[in-house]
Amino acid sequence: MAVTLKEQVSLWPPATGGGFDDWLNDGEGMHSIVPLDLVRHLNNAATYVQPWAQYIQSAVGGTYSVSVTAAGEYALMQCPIIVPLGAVRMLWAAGLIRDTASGNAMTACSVYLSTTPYVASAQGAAFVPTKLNVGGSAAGQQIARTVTINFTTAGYFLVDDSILGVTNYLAALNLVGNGAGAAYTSNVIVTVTMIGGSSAAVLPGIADFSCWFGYE
Amino acid sequence: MIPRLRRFGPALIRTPGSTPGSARGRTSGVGGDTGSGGRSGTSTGITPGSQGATIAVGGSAAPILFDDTLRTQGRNGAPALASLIKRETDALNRLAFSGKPYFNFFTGGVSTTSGHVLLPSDPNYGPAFRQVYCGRNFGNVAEGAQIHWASPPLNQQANQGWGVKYFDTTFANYLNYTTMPQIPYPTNIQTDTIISARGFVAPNAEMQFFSGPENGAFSNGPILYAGMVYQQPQDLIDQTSTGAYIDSTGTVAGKSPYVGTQRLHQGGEVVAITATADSSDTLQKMRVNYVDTLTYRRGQVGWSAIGPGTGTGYVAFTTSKSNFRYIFDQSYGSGGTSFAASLPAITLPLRYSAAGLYTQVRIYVFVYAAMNGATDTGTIGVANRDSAGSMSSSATAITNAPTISGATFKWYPDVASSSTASLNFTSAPYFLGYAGAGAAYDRIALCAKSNGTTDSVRIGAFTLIAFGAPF
Repeated sequence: MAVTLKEQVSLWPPATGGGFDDWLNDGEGMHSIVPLDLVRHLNNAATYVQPWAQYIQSAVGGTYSVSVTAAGEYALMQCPIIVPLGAVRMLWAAGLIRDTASGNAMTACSVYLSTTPYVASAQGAAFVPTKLNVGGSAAGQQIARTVTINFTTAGYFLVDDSILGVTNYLAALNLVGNGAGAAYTSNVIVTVTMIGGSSAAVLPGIADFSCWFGYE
Repeated sequence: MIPRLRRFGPALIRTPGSTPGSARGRTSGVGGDTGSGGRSGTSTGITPGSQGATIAVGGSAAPILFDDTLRTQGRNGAPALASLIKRETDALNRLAFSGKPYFNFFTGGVSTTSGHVLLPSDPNYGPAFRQVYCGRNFGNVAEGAQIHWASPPLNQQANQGWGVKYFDTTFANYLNYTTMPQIPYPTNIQTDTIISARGFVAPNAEMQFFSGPENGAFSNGPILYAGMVYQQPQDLIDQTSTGAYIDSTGTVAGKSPYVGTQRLHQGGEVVAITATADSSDTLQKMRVNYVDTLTYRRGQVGWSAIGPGTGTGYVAFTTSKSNFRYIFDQSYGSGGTSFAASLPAITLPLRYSAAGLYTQVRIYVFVYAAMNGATDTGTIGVANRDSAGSMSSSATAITNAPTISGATFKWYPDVASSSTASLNFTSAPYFLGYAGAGAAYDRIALCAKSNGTTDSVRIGAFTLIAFGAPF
């Protein structure tokens, strides 16, 4: 038993040399081309030729920063996204920024998937993950993935989680079987964790964020 | 807890003189229109007991994956089992109708008062966001749009609303209140959803997010903090619909573009094309649907300034304006810091999405742009990975690069009218994105430059649409 997911699509319309019209010209063509090639190429179309790329960049100048003067976890961005059924992980990459080398180090970047948006307790308050749970319960409805970083200088830092990503999100968000025909909307929240004893102001921020979905 | 909204049901508002869009998703209650709820996940309009004119396409079901050993059933000379064909058509239907995202935006974080107030006094008053809506996919029966919103205490008032406009059709939700609640952000974020039914359209049309009176229906709009537009997955579609659509070959057809698995028997050998009308109909649809699905269901991403093209709703390429510089950090580009895969750019996953042995796919580029004066023209460039996966250190002009001219913002290429907006694969601006095995994603630095020394380029929005092979 083997399921091949990474084979590139080779069937293509006639103009590109694929010979698609042969499907309909005689039965022999059908016998060979359709079942043989589509077994793998539909796998590919379902997994890697996937339309689920979502890219989020601040509508205000392309970046968004928060002012931080103490250690802790701070939310940088949140946005509704649509998630597919069947995928086993959400992969992502985030472009973080900071304005200065002074102040606390940026030591972790976390991505949360939640069925509810994050509602902060106050302006500028540190991020409280349990607020993502419905009713403050710890019963689920959100899942997180944290990538360790060490970002201490001013500039841009790409956080790459394109291999593991957020796994088991469907079960965590209780989306399996959640109504035929529904759009499986969720919310993605990106946070940064600052560590150190400095009270110097620093502006950690986010430039670009992209997410997509893996099937293996 | 988020308080339950008191509001009326969603209203479908068509702009005066407009031509209604496809109504396939609404006429039979199978297209995902919410009817009275307007919230995805709570009401999809699918009524299990009324499936007489519908066919199951399983768009929100997990994709079917095939074991390699099934290929033995389709080797040349061996009979292709009808059961395998049925499984493949089931899989194809699921892919075609599984939905896809079109656009995401956010205007601020979750811990400040950032966001945008769309009031008549606001310099960016007007459409909150603009994008290109490329709805060319058979499975596109209905869309969805969702927002995070709130209002500042002083500006909250009755007759609020927001919506999405697809060129000729507006879908809007009222957020009316009989009292004046204070909905501060970020301590009381609201969500709201519209399930619209613009559906499959051949041309690329402009899509506008608006908050407030853009369509004349509302006196005010909420602050939009984040949102998205997506194609709504479909599980059932109307097999008797006569709504017109245009397939990938430009042929106008008049029936819902499903693959009719219900007419395939599940045992024995496959029936050749000449055997029965039902079989040929199924195989023809399978061919067309496969081409369509693979061509149009790749990723589409975009960005829009708030109120693009008005007020300060644009990025001005004023740093070294005669050289290609990256839109979101103009210290990068010709004469500045060289590009690299780990430096500022847009991440777009494309791996294994090309045809055959190609390692690249076309990424079509739409920009909502203008110059700051009438003297010079401008153009668009990109730095990204090459066919081997190596990131270019400098940007070059994209193929069929548009000539941006004049101080009035507009889309390049034109999506201003449905009659001229069809995507021309030959003449439309594009570049080649990296789809090989060497990297999970391409890194795309979208750049612009002035062709002179007087004026500079301004970009208020852009859309990147990935399409198939290099052609």
